[in-house]
Amino acid sequence: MLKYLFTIILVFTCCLKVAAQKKSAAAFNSYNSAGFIAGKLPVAFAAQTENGIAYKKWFAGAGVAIDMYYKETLPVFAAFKKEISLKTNSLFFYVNAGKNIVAKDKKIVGTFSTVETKGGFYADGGFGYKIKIAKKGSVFFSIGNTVKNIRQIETTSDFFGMQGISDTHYKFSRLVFRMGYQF
Amino acid sequence: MKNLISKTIALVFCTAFLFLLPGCVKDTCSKTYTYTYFQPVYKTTAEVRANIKSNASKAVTNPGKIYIKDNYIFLNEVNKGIHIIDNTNPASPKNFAFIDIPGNVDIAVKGDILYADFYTDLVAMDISNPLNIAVTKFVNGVFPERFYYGFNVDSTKVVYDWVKKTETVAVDCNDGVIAPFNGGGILFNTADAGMSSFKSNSSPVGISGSLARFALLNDYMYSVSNDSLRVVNVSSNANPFIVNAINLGWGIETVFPFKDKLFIGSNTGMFIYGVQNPVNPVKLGSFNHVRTCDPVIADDNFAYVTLHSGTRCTGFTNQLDVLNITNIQSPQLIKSYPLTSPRGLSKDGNLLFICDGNDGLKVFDAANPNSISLIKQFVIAEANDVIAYNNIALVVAKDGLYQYDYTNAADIKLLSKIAVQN
Repeated sequence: MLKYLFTIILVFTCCLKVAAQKKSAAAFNSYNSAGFIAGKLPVAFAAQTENGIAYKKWFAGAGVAIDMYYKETLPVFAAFKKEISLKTNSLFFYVNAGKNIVAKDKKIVGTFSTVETKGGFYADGGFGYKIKIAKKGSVFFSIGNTVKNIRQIETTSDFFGMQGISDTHYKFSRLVFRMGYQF
Repeated sequence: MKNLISKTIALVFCTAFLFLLPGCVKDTCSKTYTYTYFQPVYKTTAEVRANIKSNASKAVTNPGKIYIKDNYIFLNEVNKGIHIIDNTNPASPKNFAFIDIPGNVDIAVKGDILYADFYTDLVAMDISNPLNIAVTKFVNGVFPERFYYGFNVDSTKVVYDWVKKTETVAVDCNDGVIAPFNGGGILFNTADAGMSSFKSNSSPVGISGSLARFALLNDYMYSVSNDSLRVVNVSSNANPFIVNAINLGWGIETVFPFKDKLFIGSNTGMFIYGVQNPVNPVKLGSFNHVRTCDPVIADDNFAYVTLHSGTRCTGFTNQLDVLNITNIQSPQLIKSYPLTSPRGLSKDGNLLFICDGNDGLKVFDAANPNSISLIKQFVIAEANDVIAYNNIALVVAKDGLYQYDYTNAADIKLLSKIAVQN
């Protein structure tokens, strides 16, 4: 998955250069936001940056985020947006998909058990409202549904050294609210 | 016009999305638990008892405790029986027979009689002719703690073998990780392997390792369970009978006989029992340490205790403790030496041999207990127990039985290895 994302970033960097050379309508865009994730578990902090190419009313790029819900992970994803102009401001729809990477405590080794956490699929989709505040800058708000999958494998040994393996798959489907700045 | 339509669609979509969004909020979890258990294979008691004799040799697959007597090595195959190895030439030992004893983990030899545990029972065998071993007596109920509750289908059958099975079940995410009881299996202890040595005035006995739970002293065999010391009268070698049982408290692991004392290793300390009255040993002294596993050996003035942590042993201490036992009522710690994961140990003269887990066999110069120094290390997988006797060090490790010649302490060398076959 990471290979694909790096490829996407590379392709967009090339496109950016080509666009600049051809003086086309394509331009580099960066969306940076912070917010919170609300689900069945306590509300958690979220932040992300997405960088890519905007062409006409479309945006495609790659992003990385911090997702503190249940277990701190770093989602790495491909990002797509479609914008609809409303005079100076605009409405946009977005879809992100990728993989969340476990940021810390990937493996916790205890006396009787070892817990290993693995990242999984990550997706995010919703819409937002963008308010133009400068020639090349806008503030935006968004709301969406985000899904992250996590797998936890707990290997336990009993008093006699016999092993048991507990394999748990979590799928968290949450609401996400963000506020950020785009340039 | 086109722009207005797209804006309207977008607004309708956004409104619908906002209404539907709360329904998307849910956390789901699916969990499986994979566990291993052993399912018993039954045979009739008569069948199993009839098979306790010299059978064809078998490959060593799960070596346990070792015992040497004359030119023979008795190597326990954990819960299966005993390999008899002709060690006339240590450079080329011959695994020539196997005694099938289900549930066997401990061995001791006095004269021509070999004593072994057979689940809850003690079996005595005449081994004067190792190719024609014959049972002389069964003593029932000597080791009641070895009874596998729930597996005695009837009194005429015993568990002959265990078949390892692995199963995966779906469990509720809110459940703890608890192995489901299979109704026909058990998660059982494969017992430590071990040894100890002494000389007596009665029939010559063999030499066992520091992890042994059997110790022979004159006319008595002492056996430790997790919480008790049992005294078995073996004055008539072939006709043992139990004479006493003493409660020792929880966590007893090993027993090592030296002269008129028993050094008992528990996971909270070392206890010294005097056997002036051999039927009723009396506690003389003790030395407490952190909770961990601790085989012990001793000589006239010093006791050597290895402490190791791990799954069953708990704790985080891995070291050798050298104790001054000149005052038997109050053993004093002289010095601790850090080790990796020490288990069985043995001492011959000034040489101290320690099995240090995956660090292998370590040989120390222990002439001065205040300054024990490493002479040589042999890296072998999970070295577990050692007997150093008559210039040969026998080492039981995960992958086999090793023999080292230490005639020249400056040039200790590997003589042979009987490899474990999986």
